[in-house]
Amino acid sequence: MSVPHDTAASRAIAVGVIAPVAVAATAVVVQLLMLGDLPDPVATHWGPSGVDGFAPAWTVPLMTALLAGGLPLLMSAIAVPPIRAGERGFVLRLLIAMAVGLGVFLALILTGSLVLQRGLEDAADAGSVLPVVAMAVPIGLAVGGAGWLLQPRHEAAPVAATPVAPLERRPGERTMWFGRAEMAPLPLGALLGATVLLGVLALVIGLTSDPVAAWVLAGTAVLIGTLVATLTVFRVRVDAAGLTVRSAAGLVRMGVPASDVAGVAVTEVKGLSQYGGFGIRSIPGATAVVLRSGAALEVTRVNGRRFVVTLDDAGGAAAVLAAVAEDARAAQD
Amino acid sequence: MLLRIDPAAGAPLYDQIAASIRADAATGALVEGDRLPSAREVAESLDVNLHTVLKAYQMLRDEGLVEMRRGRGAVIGSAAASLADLRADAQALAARARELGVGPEALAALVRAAAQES
Repeated sequence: MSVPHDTAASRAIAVGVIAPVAVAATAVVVQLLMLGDLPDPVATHWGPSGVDGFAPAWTVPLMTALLAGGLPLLMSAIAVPPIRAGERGFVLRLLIAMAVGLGVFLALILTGSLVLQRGLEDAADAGSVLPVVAMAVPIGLAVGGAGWLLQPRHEAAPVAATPVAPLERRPGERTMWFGRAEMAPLPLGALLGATVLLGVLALVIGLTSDPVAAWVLAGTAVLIGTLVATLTVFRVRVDAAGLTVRSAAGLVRMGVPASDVAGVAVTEVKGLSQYGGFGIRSIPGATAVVLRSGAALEVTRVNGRRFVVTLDDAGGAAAVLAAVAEDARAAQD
Repeated sequence: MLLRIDPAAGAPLYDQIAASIRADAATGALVEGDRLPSAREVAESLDVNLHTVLKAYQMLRDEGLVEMRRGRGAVIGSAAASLADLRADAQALAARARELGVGPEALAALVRAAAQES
């Protein structure tokens, strides 16, 4: 074959997609085979004093398919495309390992909770679920660890940063660059959708059953809404004072003063593999405002630390910042 | 978007600020719906009087290039697309002027006169 075999990608698919699907499918089959021996409804929830929640028996295989099959696939859907595109990173490898570990853990818990109830007339007589949990946790962790080891080591590719020449200006000319670092519309829409969904869910649950769960959900919705409002749009300004990055709601303010700028460059960032995600990220040697993968302004401080912010017109911002940094240095000498 | 002003140049500062924004709209760096920084922010960054910036925004609003929206501040309006459309024509005209040895000032005067005729 002319195309070199990508071990990281094929292992990621085997560990993060094929294995969890096989595990979930096996669990569903085992559960369906048990249905005849089970009480209906079955116990599905255990409290401090024993069984306190019931559901029709058929819902457990359904939940198994959705949770033990769906959640790992969701995690792999985030990690596999970048790995196939050649990205490498700790978080990508970890997501794949967590996917298979979580899948096995959930499959064991759900199947084990049914095994406990075989032969019972009334699900209320079911014993404690703790032994099942005690067995599922270490096995899930061990499988996750194996999933980590089965993948090859992710060697981070060196990131090229292109230094930018200062904007040419006449003596005494003043400049200001203004732009926005924004999340792409699709993930932003997904976040807003999730917030609205949580809010609606909180309302429904609050009205129909559990007020405590409703408060937890409502709190989560408010928290995510606040985070979306504060951390998805940043206003970026470059002027004589240096680089200023402020969140849209004004809560977060970061930046680099002109006198602290040692170098200015444009670079391409990959959110997941380089920074382990999106938002305000801190990794050894760098702080970054990463709202999408792609073009970014990279500022190196006098102490060597880097500050990175994703911008469509990173080159324009870099040229102005390089110019004002030059002025600041001239003023110091 | 890039704003540049030269206090030593002859043109008033508000004209220079407006010209910077027009130039960004013409190149497509600013498109309809883009928000401009607040006048106060610009005044602070460029170390000019707030009223200078407000006057520039006012001029652009009169041209339809900027819309003032309550709660959102100054936003690039629909005229930005027309300006970007004319950019290719302007470049062709400028190239032709260079061929004929007509300088930028003379060309600008020519275009201004033509625009004011009709």
